Amino acid sequence: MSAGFPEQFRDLERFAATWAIVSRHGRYQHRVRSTMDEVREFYDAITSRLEAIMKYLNRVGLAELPASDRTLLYLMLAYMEASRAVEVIGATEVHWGFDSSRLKIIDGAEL
Amino acid sequence: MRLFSDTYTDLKPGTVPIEPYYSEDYYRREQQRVFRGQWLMVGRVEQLAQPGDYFNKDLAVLESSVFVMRGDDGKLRAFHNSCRHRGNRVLAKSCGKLGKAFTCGFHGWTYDLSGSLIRVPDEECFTDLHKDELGLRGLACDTWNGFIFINTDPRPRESLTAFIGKEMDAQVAGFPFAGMELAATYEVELGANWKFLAEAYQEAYHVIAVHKDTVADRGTVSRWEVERRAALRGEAPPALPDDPTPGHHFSSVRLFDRHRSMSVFGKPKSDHQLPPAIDLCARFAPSPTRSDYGGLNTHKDASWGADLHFLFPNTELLMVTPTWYLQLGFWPVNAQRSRMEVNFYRQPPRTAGELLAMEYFEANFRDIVREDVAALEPAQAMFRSGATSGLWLSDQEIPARHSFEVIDRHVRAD
Repeated sequence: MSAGFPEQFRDLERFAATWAIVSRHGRYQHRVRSTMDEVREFYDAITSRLEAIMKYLNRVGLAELPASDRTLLYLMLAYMEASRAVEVIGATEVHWGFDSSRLKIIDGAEL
Repeated sequence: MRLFSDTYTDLKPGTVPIEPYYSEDYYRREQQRVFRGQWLMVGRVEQLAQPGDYFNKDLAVLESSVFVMRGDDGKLRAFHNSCRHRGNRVLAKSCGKLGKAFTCGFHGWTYDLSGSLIRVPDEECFTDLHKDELGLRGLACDTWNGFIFINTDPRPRESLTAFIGKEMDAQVAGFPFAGMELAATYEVELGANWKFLAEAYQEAYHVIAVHKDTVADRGTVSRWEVERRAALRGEAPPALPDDPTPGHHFSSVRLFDRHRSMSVFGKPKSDHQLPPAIDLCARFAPSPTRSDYGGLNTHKDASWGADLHFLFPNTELLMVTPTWYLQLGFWPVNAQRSRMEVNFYRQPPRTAGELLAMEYFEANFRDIVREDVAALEPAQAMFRSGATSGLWLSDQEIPARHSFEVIDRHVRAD
């Protein structure tokens, strides 16, 4: 994980150690293995700052984002994952799914 | 109710037999007649941009590992990954970049980028060995829309162009395949026959049960995509509350000689409030305009949601928007085991917002794919029990029936 976190979002840095995960496989596994309370705490915290975060991350092109914004960007990728549990399914896991550990997710394009 | 079988009257109604879904004998005939000598999609040209680039593909159904490589002359060639000396796998890695030549690790036989044998250590110790006859065993290799196909027959009975056919080619003509990057690959290996797996991606009937939380009657991606597209065109969202056709039905089906295309509805809810993360997608996803929709909804269905294009025998393209698409490969491992590979291609994201929107589509599909295949192993485990004598298919599952009938026709051909 690259160092640094934007000053104005310091209140969200407490989620970095658990949710700022680089790989899709890692983010997916983390969501399905978390409790709903853990997912909801993270989801609610990000949702309350969503407008400001998007304004900040979209201020420049993706290629121009400095390394110090990477942790926040990975947190937001995890937010998209976590939102599935809260907004769509109502649980961290789908009601009936193939064993998640048997779904192999291989990252393609690098960030 | 309009029935697809009124159009496709030669497809037999009722059940399909269950034995082809577990029989070892049937599978051996599939290997010979459905996979050997047929065009099989194995990758994309972007994977092999420069001379010397190669990728390996382990194909249990062909009992081979095959690699595709770009030569010094820029041409793509496919070979069985087996040294002509004693059969060893010449290229050990799954992909890579070669210089001017490559050498088998077993005894040092060396080949150039056209697959010709150029060096044999201690050549004088062999009797009657002719290097010019011992190039790597080749397969036919050709491309369509940037997709790489191989054929075990080095001189195929029909060209790739003839195999694809004008009808299927026209379905996707104009789609921007070339500008996309591979975002991620999802792989699943499971104890289910490959046809049974492929059929799960050729019917939408399962949406009402297995996808009841994720797709059916929810704030789904396709639903807001439909609304968004209408807005981009300056039109009111297609309001279909009085249309009795269920959203999980196909809006249209096109069955060709071997391939088939189907489209699904995308029914918007007029009072639909988007939750925050989906709203983020709606606001920040790349915004194609109407003219970007070439190769999508070619059939011009009202309230269109997505296209599924299935290429015989084992490949599907799932297309929803000009900004990303999925390619699915359904590969047999043996008669009762298969491996699915899902490749997610996307327009390279230009902003964090575009990246996050794309990530949502991918996350959505991670859940959906696990639901899609949830029932397959439990069902397969019962196929030999005698509890079920045939598999029922409704009119809505006619693409799955066509899939089976086309394969069965090849298996039974003289």
